Amino acid sequence: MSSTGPDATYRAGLSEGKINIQKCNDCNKHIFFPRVHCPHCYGTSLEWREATGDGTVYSTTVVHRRPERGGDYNIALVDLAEGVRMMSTVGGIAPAEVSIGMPVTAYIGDVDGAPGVLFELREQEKEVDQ
Amino acid sequence: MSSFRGKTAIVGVGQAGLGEAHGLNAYDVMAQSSLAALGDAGLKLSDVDGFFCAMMEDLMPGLMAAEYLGIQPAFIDDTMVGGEYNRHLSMTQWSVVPHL
Repeated sequence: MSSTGPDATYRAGLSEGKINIQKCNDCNKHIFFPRVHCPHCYGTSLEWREATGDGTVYSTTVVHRRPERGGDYNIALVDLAEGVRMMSTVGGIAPAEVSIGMPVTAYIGDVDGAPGVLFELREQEKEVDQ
Repeated sequence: MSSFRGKTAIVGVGQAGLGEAHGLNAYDVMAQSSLAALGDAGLKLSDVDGFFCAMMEDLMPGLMAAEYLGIQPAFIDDTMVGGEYNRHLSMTQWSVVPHL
């Protein structure tokens, strides 16, 4: 069955290892989450572009959870270099160590059994920390 | 109620196709039908100041639907009552007619 919907196209991209987001041909802004039209200029001519994966933490919080259920985890809003904002999680460091303005890089990992976008500290920043 | 008669009208109608909608989710279909209805009326999303919606897939879709569409209406109602279409129409009358 061919998948023609924007959300289906996005998820198919993730399955192929690509973080594809839409860009409006009328106002040239990137948009996320996937839609059938541009929420900025209301144009309907959208094309898919692979995101660089570079992002910056816009906001962050810690969700507390019992250790036997996996322990505390991070929830962050991340602004991608393309100008769109994603809700995700920043891994690889303690959930409370994630801070606003932190440079992060996206990678595709398992989110509840399906491929999803996760973030980790950007590589050069890791080296600086070490 | 009699003072409401003839004061409001449905000026645009839109559908997003009937039957199968492969790969589209409920919000995609809602957006397509919204754009079709606005086009039918000769209006744009930026003209929308009141927004009523309901769907089976998400029982509280109002904020998400407005976010999807890219609108910031002054009034949102996503009440689901089983017959919400009629209720949405009457709420629209109650919202508009007293201000005419």
